Amino acid sequence: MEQLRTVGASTTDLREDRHPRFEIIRDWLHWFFTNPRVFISGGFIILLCLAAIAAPIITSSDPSLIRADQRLLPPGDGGFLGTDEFGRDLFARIIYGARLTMIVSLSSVMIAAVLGLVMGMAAAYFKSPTDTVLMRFADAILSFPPILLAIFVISFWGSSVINVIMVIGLLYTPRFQRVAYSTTLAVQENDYVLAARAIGSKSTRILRLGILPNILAPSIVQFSLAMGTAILLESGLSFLGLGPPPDIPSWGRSIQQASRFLSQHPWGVFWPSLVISMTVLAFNILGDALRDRLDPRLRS
Amino acid sequence: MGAYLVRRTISTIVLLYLIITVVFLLLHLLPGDPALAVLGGIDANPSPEDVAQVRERLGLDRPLYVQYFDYLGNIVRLDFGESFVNGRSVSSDIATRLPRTMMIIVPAIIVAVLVGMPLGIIAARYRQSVVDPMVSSIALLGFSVPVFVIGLLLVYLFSIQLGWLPANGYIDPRDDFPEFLKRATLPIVSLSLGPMALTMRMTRSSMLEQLGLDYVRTARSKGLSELTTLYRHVLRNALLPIVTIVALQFGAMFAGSVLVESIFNWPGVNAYLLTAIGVRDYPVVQGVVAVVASIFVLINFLTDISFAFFDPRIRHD
Repeated sequence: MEQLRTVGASTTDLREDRHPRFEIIRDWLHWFFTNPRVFISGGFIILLCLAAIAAPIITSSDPSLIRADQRLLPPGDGGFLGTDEFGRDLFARIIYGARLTMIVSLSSVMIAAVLGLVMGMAAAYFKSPTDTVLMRFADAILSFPPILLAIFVISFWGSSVINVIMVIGLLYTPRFQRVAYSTTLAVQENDYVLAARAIGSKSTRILRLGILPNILAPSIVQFSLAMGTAILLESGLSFLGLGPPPDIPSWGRSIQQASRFLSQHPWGVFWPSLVISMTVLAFNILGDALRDRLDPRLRS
Repeated sequence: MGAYLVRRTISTIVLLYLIITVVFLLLHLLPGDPALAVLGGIDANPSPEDVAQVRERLGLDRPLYVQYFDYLGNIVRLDFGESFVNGRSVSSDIATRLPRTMMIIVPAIIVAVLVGMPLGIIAARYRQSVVDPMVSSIALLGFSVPVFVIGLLLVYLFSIQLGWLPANGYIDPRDDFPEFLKRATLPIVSLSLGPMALTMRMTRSSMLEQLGLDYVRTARSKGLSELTTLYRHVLRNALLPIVTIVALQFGAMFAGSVLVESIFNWPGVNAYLLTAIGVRDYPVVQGVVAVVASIFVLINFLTDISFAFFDPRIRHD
């Protein structure tokens, strides 16, 4: 019944009715600091983001500076983590590489989430023919092995940062679309949606205030998991040489280049591999923890 | 069942048609002239007459709709034309290369299921002990580490450090089967770890969901042994979501095999596609994408059909 008012009432009443905001924040902070797996994985992601933003402060070396006399050095010499085959500082390349990874994965998953939520909600709410068109679109994208479609499109559009973001965004849209679709189908059967319709609320208002808040929880879980796979896809494309141009430091490309020197200089492969794996792992752990907290079916 | 089958068949055919059309449109509407690529790219600076001549030879001067219907007609006959670059038949090249990719994908799926399912069952069975968190953590690690990292790690360990297995190359199994096995082992293992982790996770959660249901208590209280309860009752009911994941894994395996083929110099269908894309070899790209996407769609179709067969509720949906 509270939700009935949410839809019908004006937005000012609504704020008073809700759980006080600071309490929600306090609950989340409590959850963050008392759960070791959340604290460690979330903390790692926050640190990585900070490192990406503050890259020039953390390391004074230029990630693109070629030093012919310092090629393939082990950790300690010529930089904290050693150097690559051009004598470039591996630590600096990893820190600057975090910028690319974070920008690409965050923007592409954002695009996918917004597009997917809008399309999924619209498909479920407006029924056929919107439903058929939008959901067939999702099926068509899902029927391609993702990397095949990405390789296909990028090799024709050219490999710029924007193109990689757009392709990954497009590829991940159906995931959010499906989550939004199935939850909207269930939520809109509630009486309060019918009531809102009966008093003449506009569709956009019902979708925004009555349905969107209810489908956010599964989407947040999906967001964290999609971040993990987006990073895998981006690094895979970079590894194949189809990622952003070579002058931008990227983890996947670093691994690909260093793999040619695997026997004499394994460090060049080891460090970026470790960072990619840890980042993806952190997003997966966080996604699992969020699911445990947000999925009402598991809360019994 | 009949009506369901007809409906699913029609929608699968429509989906295949859409994919084939989108591939055609993308190739022809995106920038990049294959005639230029054939003549050595824009840097070679070919004369306009040469370009026009090549366009005519390749049939690219015809109106788009003529090329489109020609393309559709050929696909129905499984004829994907000849490579722009070396003039070889695309269909026969795919026929030699697709099996090589399958030779690593299919064993990798089998390994993933054979190891992942028992691990998942064990994790669900011993949920209260240390076994479950241990197995679950390994699984989480399994799909967080990129497939090319796993591949390089295996190469470093087994080829460079221990020298047990060759790091790359392919040998026809009909020529030298033991040597083929040696060379295929690392690609198969690297490809199987991700799906193995997913199968394990899915099996575990599906089993756990079933273990909480009333019929399990009934089975236990009527004195059935734990093994019988688990395998005859719980596993059977838990199998449907597991099969879905395994079937959906096929797409992910293709994604992984692109990277694995690149690491291990495996001359499969993905390596073929990557080279063709680089030189704008339209017929090869069209052919490979159409074939791979069709296999993918057909597997999804078969999965759905088998579900409807095993679970009558789906048919009435």
